[in-house]
Amino acid sequence: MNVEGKKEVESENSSRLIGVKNFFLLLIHYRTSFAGLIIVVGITIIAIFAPFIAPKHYAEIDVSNRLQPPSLSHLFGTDALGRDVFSRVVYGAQIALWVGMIVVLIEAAIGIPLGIIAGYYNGKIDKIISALSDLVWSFPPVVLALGVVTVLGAGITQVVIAIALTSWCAFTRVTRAKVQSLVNREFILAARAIGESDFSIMFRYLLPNVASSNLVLATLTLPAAILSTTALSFLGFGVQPPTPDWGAILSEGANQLVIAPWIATFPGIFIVITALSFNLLGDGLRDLLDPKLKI
Amino acid sequence: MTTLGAPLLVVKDLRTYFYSNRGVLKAVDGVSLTVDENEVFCIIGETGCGKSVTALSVMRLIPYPGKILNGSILFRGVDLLKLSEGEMQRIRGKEIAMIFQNPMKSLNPVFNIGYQISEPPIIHFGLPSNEAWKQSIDLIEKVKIPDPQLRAKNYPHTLSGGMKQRSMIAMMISCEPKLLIADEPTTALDVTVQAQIMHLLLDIKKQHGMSIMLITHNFGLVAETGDKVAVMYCGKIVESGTVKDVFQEPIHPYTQGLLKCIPVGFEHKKEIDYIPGTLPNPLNPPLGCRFHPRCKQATKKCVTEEPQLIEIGNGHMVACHINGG
Amino acid sequence: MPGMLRYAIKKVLIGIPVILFVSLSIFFLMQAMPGDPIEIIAGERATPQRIEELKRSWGLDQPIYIQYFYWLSHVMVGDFGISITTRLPIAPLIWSMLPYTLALTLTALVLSYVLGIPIGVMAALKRGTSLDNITVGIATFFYSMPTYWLGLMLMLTFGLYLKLFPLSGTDSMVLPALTLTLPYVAMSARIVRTEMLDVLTEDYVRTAWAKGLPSRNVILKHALRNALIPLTVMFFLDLPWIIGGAVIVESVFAWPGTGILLYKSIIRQDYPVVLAIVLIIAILTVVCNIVGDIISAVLDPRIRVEKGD
Repeated sequence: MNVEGKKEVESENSSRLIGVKNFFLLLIHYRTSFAGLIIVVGITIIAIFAPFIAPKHYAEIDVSNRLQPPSLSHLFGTDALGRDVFSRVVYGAQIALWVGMIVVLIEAAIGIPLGIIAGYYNGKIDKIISALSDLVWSFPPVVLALGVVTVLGAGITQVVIAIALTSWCAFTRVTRAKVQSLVNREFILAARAIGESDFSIMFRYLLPNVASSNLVLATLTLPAAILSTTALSFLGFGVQPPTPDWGAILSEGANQLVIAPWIATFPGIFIVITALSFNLLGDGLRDLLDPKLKI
Repeated sequence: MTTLGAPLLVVKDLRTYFYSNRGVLKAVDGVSLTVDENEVFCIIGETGCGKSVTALSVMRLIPYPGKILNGSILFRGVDLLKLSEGEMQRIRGKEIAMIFQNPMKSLNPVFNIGYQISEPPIIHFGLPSNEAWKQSIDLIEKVKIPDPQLRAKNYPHTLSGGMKQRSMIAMMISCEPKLLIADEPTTALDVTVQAQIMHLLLDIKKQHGMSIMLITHNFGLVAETGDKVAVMYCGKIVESGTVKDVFQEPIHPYTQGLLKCIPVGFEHKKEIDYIPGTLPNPLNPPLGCRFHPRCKQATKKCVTEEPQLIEIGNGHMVACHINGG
Repeated sequence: MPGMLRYAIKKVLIGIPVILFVSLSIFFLMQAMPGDPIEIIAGERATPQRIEELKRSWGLDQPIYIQYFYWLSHVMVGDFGISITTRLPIAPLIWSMLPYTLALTLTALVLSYVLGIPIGVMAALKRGTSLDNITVGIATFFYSMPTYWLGLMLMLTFGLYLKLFPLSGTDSMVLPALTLTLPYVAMSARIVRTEMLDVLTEDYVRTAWAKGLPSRNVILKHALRNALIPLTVMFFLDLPWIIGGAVIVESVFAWPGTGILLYKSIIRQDYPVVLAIVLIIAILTVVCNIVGDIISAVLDPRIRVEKGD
């Protein structure tokens, strides 16, 4: 028998088995992140199917039933206007995820290009971008967001802009660091040597290579965005009533804290679960894709 | 069996595995060797064959997620693997010392080198700090760094690569250890500096009556400085013996292949010899003899059965079904 | 040392244009505010003479870029103008409330690090064990919690049900401080753990082990000393951050600090107050940045050297 042939067949079989075995090993090692993933998927499903899951519409007022404690008909009780808190929280998931995603997208859209430019060109441009990024990064985000909201006025769009303007720097820092480690590698030097344009290099080589780090960052930024946007809504600068943003519900709950503590308690639990699951997922992604990432 | 002195270090069936999220990496999988007194024992092999991990295992400095599972490491009759961490700390730096490959990052940036060199004598011999400082300056001079009084106050980042490595050596010989493990001490340095460092190490060996365990992938270095050599492949020793025996009459196909790869002098050959194939995946090494996928002489037995290290005479050991028996 | 002094002076000199830039931005922000600036400063019932006086004092009859310098000269002597709602000078208002905020934030900040450092170090040393995993888990949990919700829940549990602490007011700082501290301890512990893990895997720590130094020396002297460099800097950069976080906590607990002042001023559209507070915080941020830079130079010999030692 041809020893070579037998060896090849053997190694093929074992590598397929190794693939499956590896997957399960990874799963067990990353069990907390996997749990996070499942919860994330769960919350997303709740958000997408909110109209079907929520027993009542979030704005449906029923004054005869106001401030009822949790019961079978109202899982999370009712608020000051008799609205079903459970329904409002479920609809709130839509807002939270949607708003969070947009904030992260804007931050990435600002931060990543700036990071690539800073890391690629170095020199003066880098100094300016880095200084700006460091300054905004160290400025308290709450105050900055409030400042922006003061100028632009209240409302969910303004809140999104405000929060995005406070945290884009994380994307810039991460991207810049990654680009600096790539810029002196041979494939970049080779591309330059054949006369490829800067923009093309940045778009075709640098952008894909910073993708995994930024994906981890995005996953970890989303919960922070949700926490920040709900905070602004809590303070009254975000959504307008009756929109059931979790922060807004909590704000109403704060007013009724002594009489009806359930209004404040349950939306908060949902916020914690959502943020926690994204954080766990993000931590796992970080271990998998870019363990040296520092946030 | 020619011995240059009594056995200093006897390693038996050492196994060190790393438990990563992608599986178990069997870095050292059953390694046995003996280092005698006053001898230069070399471990040679390609990157990733487990030679550094073997050295780190002797020092019990295996980082997370690694574990030493099996075997015994007898240093002057004491099994190092059975000692507590505290007892091991009394041996490290004092009886067995180690210098590392990349001197650039191996020195603490916030302390000056005089201080770092004085630490081992202070800890191990209870030397008062001013005496230890004087000794540091002497050691800095001994390792041939100019201006020792001045240099002692310098921080590591102001030193060149060669000077950093010399400082490391000063640090590690400060307590006159019986065994110095040198893990590729010259690989990261310029060629001219390499020769100086090796010269320095051999000088110290002679002065102190010290043994050196030299980890390297440089055959020339082994040929010039080594007394005994062990060739490692994929976590196992495939051949070992005196440098003369192994280099002049290599038995294992891997050793033969390695020696043939070295271009010799001004010989004009049509092609450069090479060993076909690539290093196996350490997470999933081949069954049987680990070298068999790349071995031109492999037989059926080589695929299924792992060869044991057998002595074929004069301390020359081989692990090969065909050539060792 | 001379190299250090040069470095420090350089950093301060760079800081000054930054502060000017920030003040410029805020000044222009102020121009974008609705409302007549004269009215804002003078008040509704001001006499024409008063209005004229103020116009001259604040340079309001001059072109805008000159106005900026008038404004700057007022600010530099601590005159931030008049609050719209109270018609009283802003500066004394802020200085009277600042101590409350500082007491709250400094307590929280110091506690966070005092608790966070040992927790983080321990988790790093016991890497991979259940202690480590549980610590990281709890830290992530608190880190995922909105501060305002935590405050409300603490109010409920300790204030209402257990009746241990008052719900609001200045009688007890315990609940507000706890609300502010818990997420920060979690964050500090996580960061300390990451930094320690980084340092513990550095080559020079391996060298320290190889020298046979006792564990305490290696961990505290060689490892922690290095890990503390970025952590100390972070401590100073955290100060503006935690003051920002105080805004929410003060609002929840009606703690009379500058945070709640900022919040109320925005709601009442009392823009001069808002801008004054934002300016102060901006200056504080730049100062903290400078201090942070200088400290890292003091602690890390590698940073000071420009032309060799």
